[in-house]
Amino acid sequence: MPITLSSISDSKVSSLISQLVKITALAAFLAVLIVLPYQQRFGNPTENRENRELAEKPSLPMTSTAIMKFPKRFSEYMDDHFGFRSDLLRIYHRLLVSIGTSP
Amino acid sequence: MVFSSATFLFAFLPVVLIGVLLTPRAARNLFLLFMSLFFYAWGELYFVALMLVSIVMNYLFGAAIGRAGKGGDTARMWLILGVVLNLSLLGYFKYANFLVENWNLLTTQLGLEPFDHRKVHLPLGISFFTFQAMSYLIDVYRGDAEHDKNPINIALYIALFPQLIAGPIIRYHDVYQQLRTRELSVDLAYSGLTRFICGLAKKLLIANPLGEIVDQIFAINGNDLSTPVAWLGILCYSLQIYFDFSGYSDMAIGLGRMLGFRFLENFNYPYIASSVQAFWRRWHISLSNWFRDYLYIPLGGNRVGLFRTYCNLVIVFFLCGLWHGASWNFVIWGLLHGAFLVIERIGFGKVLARLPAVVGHLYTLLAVMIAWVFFRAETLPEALSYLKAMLVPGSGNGDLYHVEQYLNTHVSLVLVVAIILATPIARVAMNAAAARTVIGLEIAKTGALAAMYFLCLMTLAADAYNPFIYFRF
Repeated sequence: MPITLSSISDSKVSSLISQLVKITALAAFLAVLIVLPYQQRFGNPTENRENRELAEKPSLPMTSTAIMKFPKRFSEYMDDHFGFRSDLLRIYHRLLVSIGTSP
Repeated sequence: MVFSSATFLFAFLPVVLIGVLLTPRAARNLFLLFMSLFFYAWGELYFVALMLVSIVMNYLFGAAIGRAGKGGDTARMWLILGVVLNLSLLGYFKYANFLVENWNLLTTQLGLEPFDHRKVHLPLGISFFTFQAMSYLIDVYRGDAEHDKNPINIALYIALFPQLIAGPIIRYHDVYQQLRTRELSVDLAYSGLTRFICGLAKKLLIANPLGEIVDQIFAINGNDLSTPVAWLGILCYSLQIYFDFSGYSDMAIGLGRMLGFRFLENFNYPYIASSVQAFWRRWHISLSNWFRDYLYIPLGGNRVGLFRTYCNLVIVFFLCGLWHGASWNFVIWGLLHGAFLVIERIGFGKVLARLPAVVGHLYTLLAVMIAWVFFRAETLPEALSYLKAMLVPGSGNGDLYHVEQYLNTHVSLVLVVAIILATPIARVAMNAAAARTVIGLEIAKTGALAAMYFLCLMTLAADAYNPFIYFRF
């Protein structure tokens, strides 16, 4: 017989497990957010297999035009360079091919 | 900054979440305000000044209304002045171009000199934060909430980043106590995380791929558009806009919960509604609530006789359309919805109630989808030729574009999943499973969430197509 929630609702064990799962999920989510941008800085920089130039890291803006352009340039840099991006891209394309769609 | 972007996820969000955990409770609102203004500045560098003007102005008016006391003449005067100023800001930045264009159209036809005018830039989210600011003033005037002496709280109410750019529009009386005190908890944060990832998945895995099909089909010249392709286009758009916007709302609600806020729901499976009236209780609920509380009821609502009620409905939906954008297409979209509501009130609603439920559902879907054509098409002639292709079989040359060329396996899969998830089937199944829960459900749910998040990151890595529809309003 499966253990039902009602039969163990008073048990501290189930709420403890539930809390543990939730805390782990929250911590893992935060960890992914923090680690991903830095992975490429510490790991091997992954090669660029795309048929285009990836965005370059913008330098700190010093003029008002540079300030205006900074968010866009920084976003382009982040889009192209977050951690494991080329691996994620490869798995994504394989997944598409496996369901018969060309990426 | 778009929620479904690397910059938001990997640069902004971690700073906010860690910052909130580390900041002492007394300084949390100040920290969130600073981050919210930064968030706004990222998209609208110089228009942060406009937001600050709106904050200072509304803080002062709120204080004046609060001091004058509930409902008195002085309070009324301050309220009117405050609302007029808010509407003037919105009017100038959102409608000046539209007014001048139409004025010039008229004057050139009459052979007069056109009015020379520099294009006004539409600042992000101005429709949303102006409506929130007005909610503050009206709620304080009505005594539904007290004015807040702490300017940080009012500034945070107007600028809070999760709902700043595309809603939900939070009425002040729903949130003012949370602005003063709120608790962070594991349960709330986890439910927020769940909502956020579901919203991210709705946007990246469903709305974006459908959006690409929509863009291709709406770019086809009306003469080359066959009836099946036109219907595929509007079906995809109906699903795209729902998953795009409700996905954004899910992310906003989820982020709110991670920061300790509990925002009200903005969507409740709108496409299962059995009348247009019911649709509006399920679609963009925060906007319909705003219009009901601050416009429809003050106009007399449905207590002023039949004719006035119909007029009120038309006024509300005319303005609701105009709120979405300064273009005649949005006005027509709003008026269409208003007209359906009036027709239902006149007696069609009662007829529908007597017919089998499926008739009501089909009528609502048809009405809503036809109205979406005006919402999506760039211009009125485009909308009309698209509608013609939909409704007059054989009106377009169907040799060039076929349904099959859009429906590859990926898109077909997304369409099926989208249609299923637009109904509560999955939620009902989930609740049924929870009722006889096996202890591992929480773990299974978290696993599914992780898988969804992984898929999202993959599409983010591949994604070139990522605009939010509701950012334009």
